[in-house]
Amino acid sequence: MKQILLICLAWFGTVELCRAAAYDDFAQGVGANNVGDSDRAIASFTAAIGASDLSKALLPAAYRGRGEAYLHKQKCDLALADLDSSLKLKPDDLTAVELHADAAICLEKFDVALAEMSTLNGKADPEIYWERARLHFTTGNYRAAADDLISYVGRRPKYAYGVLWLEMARLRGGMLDPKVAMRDIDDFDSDDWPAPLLALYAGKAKVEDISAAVARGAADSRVGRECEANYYVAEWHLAYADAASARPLLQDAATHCPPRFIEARQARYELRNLP
Amino acid sequence: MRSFRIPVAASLALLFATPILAADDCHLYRLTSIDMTIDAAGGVNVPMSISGKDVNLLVDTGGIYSSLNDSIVTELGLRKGSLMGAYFMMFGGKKITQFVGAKDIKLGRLTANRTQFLVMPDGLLPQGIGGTLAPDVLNHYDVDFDFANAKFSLFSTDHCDGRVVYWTDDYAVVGFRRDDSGHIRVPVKLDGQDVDARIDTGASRSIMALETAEDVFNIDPKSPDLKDQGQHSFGHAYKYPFKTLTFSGVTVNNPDIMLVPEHDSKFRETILGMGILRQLHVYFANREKRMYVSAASATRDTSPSAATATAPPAATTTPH
Repeated sequence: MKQILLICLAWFGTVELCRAAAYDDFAQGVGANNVGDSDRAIASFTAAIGASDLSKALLPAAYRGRGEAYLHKQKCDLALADLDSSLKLKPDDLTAVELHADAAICLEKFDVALAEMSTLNGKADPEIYWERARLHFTTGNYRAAADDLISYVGRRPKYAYGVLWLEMARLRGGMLDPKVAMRDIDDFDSDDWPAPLLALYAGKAKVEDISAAVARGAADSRVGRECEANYYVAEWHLAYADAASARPLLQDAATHCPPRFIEARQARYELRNLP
Repeated sequence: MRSFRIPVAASLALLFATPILAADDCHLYRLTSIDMTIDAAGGVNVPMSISGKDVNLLVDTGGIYSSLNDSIVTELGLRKGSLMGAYFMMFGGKKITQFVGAKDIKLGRLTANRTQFLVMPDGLLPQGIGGTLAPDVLNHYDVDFDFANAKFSLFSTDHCDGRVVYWTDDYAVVGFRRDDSGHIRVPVKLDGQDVDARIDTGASRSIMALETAEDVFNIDPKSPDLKDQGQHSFGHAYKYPFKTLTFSGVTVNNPDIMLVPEHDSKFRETILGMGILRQLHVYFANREKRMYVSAASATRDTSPSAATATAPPAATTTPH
């Protein structure tokens, strides 16, 4: 696009006529992010930002858009830099704050991320509770994690993983009441995944039952289930101070979980915390 | 807001005080011009002040009544009223059953003492968006979306017919009609075929029923061009490489249109969302029932030959 801009300037001698390139690049970047084409989004936003004649009002969104695309590509330092630029221009953009927190998490700057997430409105967007709960969990603040998860589960009662994390935070924090846990998991069909993991935390199932449940799953879901079983069983072992049993499971999860699974990242954090 | 089951009896129209204009004056009166921001999904956001608090609203021509998020309603301390058994149904099956009365409202230079909003459940809009600005407000004005300059303007509808395009000489005029819900519907040509489409600035992408696409464009369901896009919030989506979408002389190249089976989305109609609209400069003249449209970046200085001599932009204009 830079080439087009130069031709345009040389040919007509005015920036006015070239405005199309900058805005069209911006528009293409937004569209590319919407369809998950991060490479095209990065290229388009880079051209728009570099063109210098993009409307100043759109510049924060251009940096935010490129930051979001970098984040999807796991280029977290580049994402953080772009989101910094976006927030400098428009500090009240809560979506940029949220993405900035995601980039900080990716770079393991948990304190930065926690501070930023506390400025966001979890009531307006329950996913804030979900993400912040996992951050609290990662930093070992299980009580705060459980508090956020209670808020989250209250708004997303049918999401089994919310309940799973709630019971896990309670168990790790020494706050788990088996009667409450049994009641919490009652609404979930015991044949559906991840019901066996919920049953483990509620004391209704044993570790061996989890392996059997993974084996019963369809072939196309096997990798995901194995990943989750390894991570959540490892956390269960850690709750009972059995790091020796947890370590190989965490190593397996960190290595073999699909990259987009949250359990892959959490397993890596836990491995670093092991004695 | 995507559909409603029962029309509410109460009027929720928000009417701002506007200047009295000479009836025989051909001048175009810009009542207010507001810097728009673009949210992560590409939606247009504008700030509205309600009782002294700034609330960012999504401009949603696909809605019916303007709304505020539940958490904003709580923050403002507004008392909720019931829609008396009536309700609006949102995508995903969430219902709207309440409304609030708000005071001291400012939208740019326009002000209103009091008006009503629907109460939208939390979690349906992106972070930082506190509600929607819908046709109950927008239909009282001419509405101008200048995406390239990030300006959202409301004009008086009192002007001479056809005397509205202030930004370029290269534009198209498309007559529109309003459907039973007050939504704008325009005739467009998609790959040369006539399609009736709804304009929806609240939709990030454009949507067409898969069955309609197969029927109108003779698309073989097994065609390799029909790409599976996986599950989306309103159903399983497919993509087809449409080449052009034309508004009476203004053409959007390679329009991004999601094809969703009707039994998933419950939608038969075609929706033009922000993926297409942001490539345009669009002025809705509500009294005339005409949409004036150009490429987003068109200016008075741009001639059609110049536009094609450089990089062809995503949207191009042929003389009207």
